[in-house]
This record gives sequence, structure tokens and C-alpha cells, in this order.
Amino acid sequence: MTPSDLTRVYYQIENEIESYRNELNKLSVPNYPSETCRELIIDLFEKLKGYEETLSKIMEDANDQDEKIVEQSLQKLITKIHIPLVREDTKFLNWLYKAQTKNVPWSFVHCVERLFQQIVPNQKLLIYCENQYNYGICWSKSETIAPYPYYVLSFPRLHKTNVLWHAVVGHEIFHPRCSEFINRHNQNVLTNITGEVTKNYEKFATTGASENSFTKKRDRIDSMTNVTHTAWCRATEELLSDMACVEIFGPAAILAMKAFSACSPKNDRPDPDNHFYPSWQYRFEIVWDNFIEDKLCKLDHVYSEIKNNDIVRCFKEDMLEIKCLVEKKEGEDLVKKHPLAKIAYQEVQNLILDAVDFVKDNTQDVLKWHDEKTLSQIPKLVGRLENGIPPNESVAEINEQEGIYNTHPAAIPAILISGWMYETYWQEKFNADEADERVMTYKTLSRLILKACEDIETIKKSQQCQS
Amino acid sequence: MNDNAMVERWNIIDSAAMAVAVESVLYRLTKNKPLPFDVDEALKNGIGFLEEAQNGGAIICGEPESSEFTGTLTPLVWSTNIYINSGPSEVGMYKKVVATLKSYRDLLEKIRKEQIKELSSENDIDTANNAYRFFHELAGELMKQADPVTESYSHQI
Repeated sequence: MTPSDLTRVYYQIENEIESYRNELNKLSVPNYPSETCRELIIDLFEKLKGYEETLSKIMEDANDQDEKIVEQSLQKLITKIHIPLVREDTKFLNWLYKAQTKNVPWSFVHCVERLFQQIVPNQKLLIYCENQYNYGICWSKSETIAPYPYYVLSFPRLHKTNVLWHAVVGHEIFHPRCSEFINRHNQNVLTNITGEVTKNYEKFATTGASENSFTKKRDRIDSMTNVTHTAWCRATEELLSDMACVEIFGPAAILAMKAFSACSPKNDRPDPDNHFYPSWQYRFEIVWDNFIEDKLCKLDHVYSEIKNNDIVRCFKEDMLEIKCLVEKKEGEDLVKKHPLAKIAYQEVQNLILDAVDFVKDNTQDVLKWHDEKTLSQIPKLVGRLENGIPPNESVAEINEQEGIYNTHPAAIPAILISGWMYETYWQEKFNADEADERVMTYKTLSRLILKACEDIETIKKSQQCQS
Repeated sequence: MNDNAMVERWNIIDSAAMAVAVESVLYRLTKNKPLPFDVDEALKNGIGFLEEAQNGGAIICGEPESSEFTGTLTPLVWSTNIYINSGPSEVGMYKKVVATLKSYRDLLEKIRKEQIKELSSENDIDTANNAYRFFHELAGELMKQADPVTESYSHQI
């Protein structure tokens, strides 16, 4: 290691910072659907300044003939600036490009931001579309590694305008809240897991079944416990997030999950290859039993108010299909097939009732599908969709002669449930041998719902201005 | 739906930076060289890392120090890897790992609290040399994993 090696890396990193700044300048030009991206760009410029200061300080410190000190300074340049910048901060460049107005379901962005603020207050959310078949959210507990301090939510790009599926953002948005629950139970669970893993370890070790494998690092008790603990954390997070999504959007969430998972195996057993994720079947069972079954009767009044009986019939048939699916209870048996999954999921099941309470406590401020206000809007919104009108408002009273225009902006859960009710009807009518020409295409349905989402933000802003 | 990713507090990148920084502090201390600009941050992070590894180890031993461990076992796993590299695994290994990590943590806390710029006691110098080797090995292992080039090797379909 020579000082010239250090200088070479210094210049390389200086160039990387300069190139990053140029990229940010280019990204400052396009339109974004909300202010978050502009704030992010400003924050990133500041971060680059921080890197430049660290760069100078490391080089000042390296002013020594000791070869070890030169080497350590080089390693500091790499670990404090080069790796975070090229490996992590460059992700922001991708996210910003994919967050531009033309690349996202911009009419829906404000609704998601509003919901996020209710669940994770005072934090910043960046929304973009990723070229993958999945929704996702990422955030950072580190104060240096991206996406700190942002939360970054991705939609599947090919389903950008498929707004009925976007009910699952309720799931993604709840992920950051799960650490509170996990931390609360962490030590007890970890102690239980350690005990169970040690028992298993000793059982195998005494029988000599795989004596050699236990000398390998990956089969140590700490590694096995770490894997099992991670499996518990992941399963708990997924299930808590599913619960929150279904608590907010109810049948719209269930139908969106079902549609999204239609091309995936339902009974994939949790194991190391799939990072111990719970199967879809198990997830449906958990949310149905704890959040849907006892509240479905609340829809009875809604059904009686909807004028088109076919819509009600189609929707009920779809819900019944899901009920039959979950009653098989295949998911619960399957999660215990792998020995480590069995340990992790036993801990999950021990805490299910606490999890249900936690989700209810942490969604108190959000308007939910089973609230009276939401339920009362659904029949009117279904009626608007049938007439090709965006399901954006619930009209209480209109009298043009007297200038009375008393309406309420529709609630997002009401919009999505009415959309899904129409979708179940659309499936039957549009796919019938003799398609009913009065039934709109799925694309038109999606556009009407997106328009409604855009409108309710305008109505809310206008009402806020008036008040 | 299942593509969420949370960057842990003790992720590979932060942990590699921490290990390099602590290694640098300990080296300079044992060689009577001026301390680096980031000495306080390095010691604070080093103590935090050792604390999480030590607490994780205490749980594995069945002797947790408090009832509020909110971290993961990842720092313990990395630390134990380094410990095992320096000798064969043995009976009561986790207790020895915990005791070793505690001695390093105590030293870093003492250096930070007393703003020590030069080590005088034989015992401290001995612990500092061992801790230096530990963080040196840890830095090497984590830097390998954090390398952006290695990260992009995968071409699996």
C-alpha cells in the first residue's frame, strides 16, 4: 500500500461525487406528482457535501508515513464514501427517474401519501413504479445508508393503472409500524427460539445424524437461531401488514390479494429458499378468521341498497369462494413442515391475538371499510360506476334552483370496494358468450376509479380552503 | 407484497465502516499516533456493535442481562465467526465469546469516557492488541461482503 494508491482512490471518489451531482441536476428538471421528490433532491445535494467534507478529513488524517495508517485511510474512503455512494445512494437516482409523473399512477399518489401520513406520521414517502411483479417498501434503521430518512414504496410497473390491485398498499404502508410489535416481544421470542433450536441441535448431535455438518459455521446454534429469529420477524411483519390492509380495505384488500396472487403457488411451504415467507393460503386464513368473518354481516344493509342485484350476487359468490378456500385450513399445517419454520411459526401463532389488537390500535385514526360512513357510500358509488361516472363523491342533496350542492368526497375504502363489486360483475358480464355492450372495459373501470381518487383530493383541498 | 426491505442498524456497510474506524483508533492508540478525526463516532459505534453482539450471546447462553433486547443476532454471528477463525470451537464457546466481547467493550468505553490518547497499563495494551486484531479481521470479512462488485457477480436466472 503506497500513498499513490490512496491518491488514486481519492480522485476516483471525487469523480464519483461529481458525476452523482450531475445526475441529480438532470433529475431536477422533470415533473413529479408531489413535493417529496424535490425535497429528496435537495437532501441528496446536502449528502454529497457531507461526503466531500469526510473525504478531506480522511486525507488530512492520512498524512503519515506509516503504511498501516495509509491502508486504513484507504479503507475508510471505501467504507465511508465509495460503498455507500455507489452501492446505496445510486438507488435514489433510479427511484427518482421512476417516480416522475409520467412513470407513476399520479392520480393515486396523493391518496397513498395521505394514508401513509396517518399510519407513519411525519415521515417522507417516495412512490415509484418498479419493473417487477411486486409491491414493495424499503426504509432504513441506519442513519447513513439509503433510503434513510425516506420510505420508498414501489408499484409493479406493468400494473401502474390497475388501481383495484393497489388496495395492497395498505399492506406495504404498515410494514414500518411492525418493528414496534416485534421489539415488544423480541426478547421473549428469541429466548424461546434459542431453547427450541438448542433442543433440536442436541437431538441431531447426539444421534450423530449429521455430525460433520455441525462443525460448519452455518450450522452453529447462533446461526440457526438467527435464521429462525429472522423467519419469525418476517412472518410477523407480513401477517401484521396483511391484517392492517384488510382492517382498512376489507373485501377490497382480500380480492386484491387474491388477484395479485392468482399466478403464484398458494401452498408454498416456508423454508430457507423462500426466506420462510408465509404461504398465501396461510395469509388468507389469518386475515379472514380475524378481520373479515365477523364483519361481513355489515355488508347486508349495503347489499339491500344496491339496485343491480347481479352485482350483489357476483360479489357474494366471490366472497363465498374465498370463505371455502380458507375453511380448508391447509395453510396452518403447511407452515410447520420445515423444522426451523415450525419453531418460528409456533411463536407467530402464540402472538396472533396480540397482533390483532396491535393492528386495531394502530389503525384507529384511519377511516376503515366497516365504518358506517364508508359503508353508507358504497351503494351510491356502485351506482355511479354503473352509469360510467367516477365514484368520487357521495351526494347528500342537490338543488340547482336553490344553489344547494351538498356532497361528501368518497372514502378510499368505499371507492375500492365499489370498484371490486363492479369488477366481480364485470368478470361475469364481459366474459359471457354474448357480452353485454353496456358493460365497460376493465381499463375504463380503472380509469374511472383513478379519476375518482384524483377528484377526492381536489374536493378535500377545496373544502379545506372554504373552511 | 413480500419484497419489503429494511436496512438494519447493523447492516454490512455500516458495520464494515465501524470495524475499519475502530481498528484505526486502536492501531493509533497502541502505536502512540495522533487519533483520527472520527475517534468519538468510531468508539460510540464500536461500543454499540459489541453491546448488541454481547447481548445476543447472553441470550444464546440463557443469561440475558436485561429483558429488552430489541436487536438481532447478526453482530453475534459475525463476531463468533471471527472468534472461531482464531481457534477451534470448544465447550462453553458462547460464554467465552461474550466475555471477550465484554472486555473489548469495556476498553472502548474507558477510552471514550476518559478521552485516553495513550494506553499505559499492560492489561489495557494487551486487550487493545486483541481488540485491534478482532476489528481488523471483522473489517476484512465485512468489506468483502459489502463490496459493490461482489454484489453484482450474481447472474442467476
